[in-house]
Amino acid sequence: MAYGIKLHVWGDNACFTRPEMKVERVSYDAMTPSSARGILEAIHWKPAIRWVIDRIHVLNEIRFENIRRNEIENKIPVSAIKNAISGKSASLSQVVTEERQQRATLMLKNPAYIIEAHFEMTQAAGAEDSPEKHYNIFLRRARQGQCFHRPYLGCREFAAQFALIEPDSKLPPSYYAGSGDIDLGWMLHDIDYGDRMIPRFFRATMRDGVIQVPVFGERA
Amino acid sequence: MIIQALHQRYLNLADDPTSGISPRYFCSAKISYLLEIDRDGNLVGVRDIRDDSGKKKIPIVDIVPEQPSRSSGINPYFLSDKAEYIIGHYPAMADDKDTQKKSADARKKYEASKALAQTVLSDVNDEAAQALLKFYKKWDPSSVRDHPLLQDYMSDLDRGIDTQMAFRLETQHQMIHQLETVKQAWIRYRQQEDSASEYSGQCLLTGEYNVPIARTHEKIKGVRNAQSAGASLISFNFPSAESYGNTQSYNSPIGKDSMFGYTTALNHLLASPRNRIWIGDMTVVFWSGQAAAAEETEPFFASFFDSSYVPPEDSSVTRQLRDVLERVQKGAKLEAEMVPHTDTPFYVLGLSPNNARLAVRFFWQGHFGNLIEKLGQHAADFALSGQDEGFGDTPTAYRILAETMRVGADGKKVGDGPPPRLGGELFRSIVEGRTYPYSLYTLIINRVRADGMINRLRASILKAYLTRYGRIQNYNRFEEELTLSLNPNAQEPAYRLGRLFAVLERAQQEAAGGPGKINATIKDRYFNAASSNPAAVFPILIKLSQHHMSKARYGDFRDREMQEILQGIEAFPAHLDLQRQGLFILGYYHQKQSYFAQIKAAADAKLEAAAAEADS
Repeated sequence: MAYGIKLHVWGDNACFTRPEMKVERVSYDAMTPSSARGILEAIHWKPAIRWVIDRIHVLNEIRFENIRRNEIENKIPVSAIKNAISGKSASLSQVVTEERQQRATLMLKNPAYIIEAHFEMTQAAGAEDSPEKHYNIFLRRARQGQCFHRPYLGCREFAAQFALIEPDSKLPPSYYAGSGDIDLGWMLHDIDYGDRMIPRFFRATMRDGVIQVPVFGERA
Repeated sequence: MIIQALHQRYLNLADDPTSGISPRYFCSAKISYLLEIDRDGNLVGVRDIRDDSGKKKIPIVDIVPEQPSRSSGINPYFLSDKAEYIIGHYPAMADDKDTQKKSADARKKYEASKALAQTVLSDVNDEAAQALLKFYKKWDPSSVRDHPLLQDYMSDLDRGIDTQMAFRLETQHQMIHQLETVKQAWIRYRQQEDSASEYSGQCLLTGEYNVPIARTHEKIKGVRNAQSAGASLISFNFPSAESYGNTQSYNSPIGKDSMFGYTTALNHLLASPRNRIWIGDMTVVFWSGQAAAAEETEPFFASFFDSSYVPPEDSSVTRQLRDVLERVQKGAKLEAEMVPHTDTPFYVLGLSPNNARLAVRFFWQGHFGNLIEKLGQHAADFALSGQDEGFGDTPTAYRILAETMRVGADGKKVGDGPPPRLGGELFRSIVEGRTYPYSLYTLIINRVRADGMINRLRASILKAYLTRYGRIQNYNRFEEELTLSLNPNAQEPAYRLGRLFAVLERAQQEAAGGPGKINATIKDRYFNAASSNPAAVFPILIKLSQHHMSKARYGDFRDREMQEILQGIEAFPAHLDLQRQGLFILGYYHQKQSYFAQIKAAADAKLEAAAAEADS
């Protein structure tokens, strides 16, 4: 793992929605690996590489806050879009007043994390792709704050700030340093895109503020 | 977190045979009538088994084969169901056509019920089961209205509420659904059904692989303002909540067993007055992670928030806990060894309904010791000296909220209740030890402006808000003012002006011959202006007071008090912000309170002197 990276991310709010509570949203206590992967992919991703999350450090105290807001209950059906593409008449509009749903969110306040991750080369890697190249691209982009799209903490509306932690610099302290093991229950690891989009879960334990992420697909 | 904790509670309760929680594939239900059959399947008796010791007849509650929620269509329950399913009962309608329709409907339901019983019981070699099958063969639902044994109950059945029935073989004591052989047959049947689930995967609650996943979840009953049939904690009832092409609860893979566990535990909690309280629009359930400590910790928690809840028994632990809080209220520090059950895990969950769903408003998990620490902090922040108004204890959340309501001419609370969200926010701030809601503070200030009533509870709400705000924001400027009783050394002008106002009012009353002699004092006319724009009002008031002082018996005292208070004030501030208005009110309250204390002390001294004289 010579090419491991550490990224400091933080924001005002976050909601790493639990799948069982995603209608009236309730967040997990800490960032999920799939969410961390999303943040890294926002900064640099190519088909040649695949990000693997190793560890997530929880820096701030886990605090919740409750909001309610109006959202829309429907999606525009895929069939309507297909019809529109093929030139048939189709309605692609949504009428807010008719599709309103009030939903509650129990979200995290003031979250901050360090993502420790590395990447692996995939079969899509060609002769011109080397780990050094992608590693350096990532470092450069993260240092300059460049991203393909704005990374976010769980939900799009909770924008994430990020800063690269240089390989030999000190880590910011965690609120949970020295607090021992805290069980966070079963947490979403990621979706298995190769196998019918099945969600996989892992037992998340926070030791002194650090969640060790197992290898994906490995049974606990 | 939430679901996991509930599931764990189910596992704990299931281990305890006295808990009364339903085992897998069973649930508790209300039964009103008992049908007695003989061995040949004839109906030989109908009994009303409702409890009639109270004013209203109450159906008995028993554990019966599982009764999943029915929304539409025909879905019979096994062995215990409503009259229309069990015997095909239908009400007689005014119109013949309607009656026929009802009758046809009931027949379909009866047939479904019959089919289910035959499937489950066909191989069961038990006389009760066989008798039941014979009953189903013989029974004719079209003649149900003419059956002689049912006549007495027909009017009740026609009303259609609580008509659930169960069977018993006349020679046996147990009802048929309570028989072990029948239970086993039911479990076998359900297990077979479950293993045929169309979707299996990893359960997000237990982490087990390849378990049958529940497509829909049981409804949760007992949350205030939710639909009476129950609402779902986990449901996906509109497309924008679904993802990756999944429908319904396949969006959140939870095994059927786990689903049963968490819903049963939550329904059990909501049905138990010891584990449930209502605060504003929020329904709160709480439970102890250890059965041994539950008896003592749960009632204590309930009584802290809901004054109408009377713990069944004032145990020594409850007294000990009250004692701890009282000590904290007086400023003592809380030591870990003072609190019993410090290490007991404790859970608090706040729910509120939203359409047919339940939203989690609040969840707290931790140790009972932390909780007591937070409650103690709350008690200390609210502590304020004053005449005993019949509640020496810390006010319950309910009473704090009620103080934001309008007060009618008769002194009772009138008008709309407190704002719905406020209750939840207040509750959260108490349990988590965070700042009290700002809106609570502003509402109280507004109430004081509107009706001019400054009682101990209002003053202590303002004090508690400012104290906690100061502590959490590290803003210690008002520390001197936020004391239990009058602090004559406190310098803050707003506080001093509040005190001054009380002195001026007293001078006026004394000039008129004592408190209660005049209908409208300066407080009624000037309090609002004095507390927000002192510079505009105080010069007038002080001028006015000179007349009072010259007239009153203790005028000199008041004059001296006034001088003493005014010493710290260089100029009257033109404007006081909301925070300082709170201090103004607190200063006013403290000063007034010190007069009461003086009078009381004088009276006590007199009594003592009289007693001493009588002794000698």
